[in-house]
Amino acid sequence: MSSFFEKFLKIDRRWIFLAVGLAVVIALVAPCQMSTTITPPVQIFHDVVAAATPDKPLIVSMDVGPSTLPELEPMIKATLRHAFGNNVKVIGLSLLITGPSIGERLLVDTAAEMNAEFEAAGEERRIIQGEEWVFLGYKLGLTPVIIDMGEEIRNAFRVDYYGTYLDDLPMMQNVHNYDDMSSIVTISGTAIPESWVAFAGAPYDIPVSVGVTAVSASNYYTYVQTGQMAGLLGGLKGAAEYERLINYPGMASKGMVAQFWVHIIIVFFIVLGNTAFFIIRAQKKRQTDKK
Amino acid sequence: MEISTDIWVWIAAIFTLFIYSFLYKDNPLYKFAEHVMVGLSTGYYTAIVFHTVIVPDFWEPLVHSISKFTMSPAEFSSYAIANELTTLPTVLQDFSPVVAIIMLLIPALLGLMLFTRFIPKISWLSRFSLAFILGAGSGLAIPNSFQTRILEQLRGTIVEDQGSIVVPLFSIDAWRDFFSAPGIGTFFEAVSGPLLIIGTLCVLAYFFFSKEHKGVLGGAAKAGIWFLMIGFGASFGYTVMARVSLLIGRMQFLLTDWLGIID
Repeated sequence: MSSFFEKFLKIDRRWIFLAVGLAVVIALVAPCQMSTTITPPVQIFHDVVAAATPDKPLIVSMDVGPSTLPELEPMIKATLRHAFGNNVKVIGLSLLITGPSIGERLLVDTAAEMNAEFEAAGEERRIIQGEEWVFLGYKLGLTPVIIDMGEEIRNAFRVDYYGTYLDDLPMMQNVHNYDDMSSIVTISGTAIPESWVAFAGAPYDIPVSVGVTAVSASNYYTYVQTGQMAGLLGGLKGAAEYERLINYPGMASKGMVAQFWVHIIIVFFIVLGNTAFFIIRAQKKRQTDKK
Repeated sequence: MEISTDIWVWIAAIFTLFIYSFLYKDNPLYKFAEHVMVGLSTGYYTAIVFHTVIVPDFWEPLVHSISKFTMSPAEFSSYAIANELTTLPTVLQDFSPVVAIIMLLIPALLGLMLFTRFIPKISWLSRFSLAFILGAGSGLAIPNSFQTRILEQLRGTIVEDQGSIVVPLFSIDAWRDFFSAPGIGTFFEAVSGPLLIIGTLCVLAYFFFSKEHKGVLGGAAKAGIWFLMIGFGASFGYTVMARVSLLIGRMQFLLTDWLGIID
């Protein structure tokens, strides 16, 4: 038995990588689902987006990059689907340099996906760029941009991502500042949500709902507790909860099965590794005492 | 199963496998992918900044301002509107082209001065730019950050907003609810507020170095370490989930977009 534990403590870490990799592949390929319990921060996030009205657009700040996309893309897609599904218009933008092309792709893809669904269901409704959504693209500066948008959105973005004047876009006709918007959704793997809270949420009293990577989620719960953030999606779990709330089985819901099995493997290795460590240490102590 | 015929999907898939080959051991394929990634990122950022900042916010307004050098502010503003100069910031239209040029050249000059860091003899010039950046940045950030990160957080350790009403974290009502209907839910409702207050005070005690950690302060500091460790544990748990999510994302790409094994 002790030789097993000794061998286990010297196990080549590549076996662990292989176990984790296989668990992910099998969990993704196997057709199984997991139930997800809804936590209060996600419920608040959902309720704030659900409370948005068609006359006041929702700002969706997609401050994302390729390295955070697996966690944040499901959040953005779910938010867009939720808003479009409720006839809420969306103003998309990015305050992170890696965000504009990703943000535009997600808006175009989600609108096309929903339009295909409407067509299949025989509905006449279509989600049209300029009428249901606009994409303002990327603007350097972060804080000044957020402050500018509080005064007049055209001060920060005179034209949209495609070079069209905001005044020429039908849905932007009566939209000038945060008073004309229902709430802000900022999805990011950086500290940008804190800037939205500090420079838009606090001074202009507009709800700021946040979606972040799991790494930074624990930093933001304090903002939810103080009411400065109107809901929080933390990592893939938060995205999966939100997908469940809007009845959309997206990438996050599928990924949570893999998350579950990888966590089981990690916990197994941690428990077995610690057990082996303490057993070997006790054996060595006994041998020393005998001598 | 329908394997992708898109060349870019194949390239992305091959580079993903190159990167993951590092898990076996360091190798030239991994290094190649790593270098390509760094080069591509730098090139992409440069192109984005050039096309979204340098050209629309500096170069095009400068060219227009120089070409209409003799116009009055009113004429210049009319010219901008008539020609739909989408890249000319509104603020520049309120001034004559000469003033607009000066307003464009000052930030450009400050930006260029940052590059003097590469020339030791005149590197001191960069301090002017840094001073401007720090001054403006601090002026913008300090009042609002103080409000959101300190005052509101301080308030959050005393009271909690529950819709339109404000309740103290140490709530007598919550304890009454627990004793009248004992259960896990009411217990956590009653205990979470006091726990947050005690946790905050203990952690602050741990970081209070003006007095030796003995007696009550020492006990509180030790409890503070436990609270910190539990906090770090939660962060670590989240970090594991984040890293696994990245792996899941790549696997979803390989199995869905590339190999077409899953929908």
